[in-house]
Order: sequence, then structure tokens, then C-alpha cells
Amino acid sequence: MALQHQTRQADDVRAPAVPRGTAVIVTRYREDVAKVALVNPDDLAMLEEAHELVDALGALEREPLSDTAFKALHAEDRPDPAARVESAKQIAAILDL
Amino acid sequence: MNGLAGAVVWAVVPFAPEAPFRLYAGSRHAPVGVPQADKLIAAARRGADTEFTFLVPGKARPVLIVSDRLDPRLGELLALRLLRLTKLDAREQDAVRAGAEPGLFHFPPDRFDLPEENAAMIAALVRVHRSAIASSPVAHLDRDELRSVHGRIARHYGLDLHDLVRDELQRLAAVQGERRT
Repeated sequence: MALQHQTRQADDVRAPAVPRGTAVIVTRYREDVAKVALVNPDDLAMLEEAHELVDALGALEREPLSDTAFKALHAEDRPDPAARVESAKQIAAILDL
Repeated sequence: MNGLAGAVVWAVVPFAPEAPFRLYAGSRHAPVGVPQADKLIAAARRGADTEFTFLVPGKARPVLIVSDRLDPRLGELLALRLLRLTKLDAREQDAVRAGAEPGLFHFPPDRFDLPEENAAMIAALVRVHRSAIASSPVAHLDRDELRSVHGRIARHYGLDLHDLVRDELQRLAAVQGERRT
């Protein structure tokens, strides 16, 4: 899911500047539980771009059935009433029963 | 039929024919039994281009449409048969609900208007003709759920997607390169 941006003034959150390539993990009660992570805006853009690319995976274009492939399916993947045998005598003769 | 991918619909679905086969022999004759496939195959190999009417069990049942990318000239959809969870014991049902059974994709009953709690059977792919689908969808999987089903199908059947993944990565790398220039 794409991130939704919420913009706040620096005075409201007193966030430090974060250099590129660094994430500042802010904790509150326990050091091993992150409350929020701060990243450089350029790094955020890079992460979002990577996310968009990964999200685009699998969105493959449909490959339409060609006329020849359709003809093949029609010829060999559909019953042919003219070739149908429903007589016990004929079935026995064909299958050597 | 577009928009049905991820939909659960009621459909008439036959089971796969298996030996012993029963061939329809007209209304005045009992079906002809053929114990093994070899007689049928031998006749075909001799050049008999005949078709028989196989008596195959089937029933109306809910199915999960996994792809609606159908060619309108064919009118077929790809679907999975569903399993009623009551066919499993309590421990197995819990495993399915917990997502611990890769061959069965659970449908939370509160989201699916079905008589019983169900799961899609990943190993039960079936082609369904649109004329065999008789109802509007009773529910829809969301995109992420359908992706998960697709992934499980590929994994179950061992589909080698190497070329597809490689081509897609190359396409995405090219897109990324274009963005940076």
C-alpha cells in the first residue's frame, strides 16, 4: 500500500535533520520498540519509488489469443457432433470390446 | 465476464473423468463400461477420430474465479473448486483458518454468502464455461488475497516463472532508468 503523506511544521514535532542514508528510530518507553522512524526526504522518495516498482510487478499485459490459437482451440478443444458415437454396437466395434 | 477475477460464483462443474469410464450408448441401452484408458487410446492411435459421450459426475457448486482474462470467443473462465470445511476434522479446520495449510485458501464466513464455511482448493483448477455460471457473485476476494491465491497455484503446480520474472525485472529496471535520466 502506498504511503499517505501528512505534512507538519518542524516546530510542531521538533524533528532533527536526518542525513541521507540514515534512519532515526524514535523510541518512547522501550529502546527496542520503535515509535516512529525519520528518514531524509530523498531517501523516502527512493523507498517510495522502490515500493511503486515492486507494486507494479505482476501487472502483466494480457496476451490476446491469436486467430490461429483460437482456430486450434475451436478445432481440437471443442466437441465435434459429427464425430460423436453413441451407439453401443459402434462403440464395441471401435474399442474392440 | 470481466471483473469476475476473485469472485465466488455458483457454477455447474464436472469432475475429471477417470477409469473405469462409462460411455453413453443411447437412451435404450445401458452405458458401456470401459475399465481402462488403454482401449480408448488404442482406438485413437489406430486413427479413429471418434468422440464418445462420457458420463462424468458433476454438480452445482461454488467456485472461485481465479482469472477472468477470457477470450470472448471461448467464453471460459479459470476457477478453483471449493471445499466445505465440515469435510475436515476440527484440527484440520483450525489449520486452514490459521492459513497454515498452503493447499487450502480460507474464506472467512462473514464475508461469503455461502451455506457453509469454505476454502478454495489450490490443487483443483477447472475451466468453467460462462453458460455454466448461473448466479451473480456471492463475494469477492480483494486484490492481495487473489494475488496470494495465484502465488499458491504457481507454487503448487511448480510453474517455472523464471523467464517471466526476469523479463519483468528488466522492464522495471528500464522504467527506473528512464525516471532517473
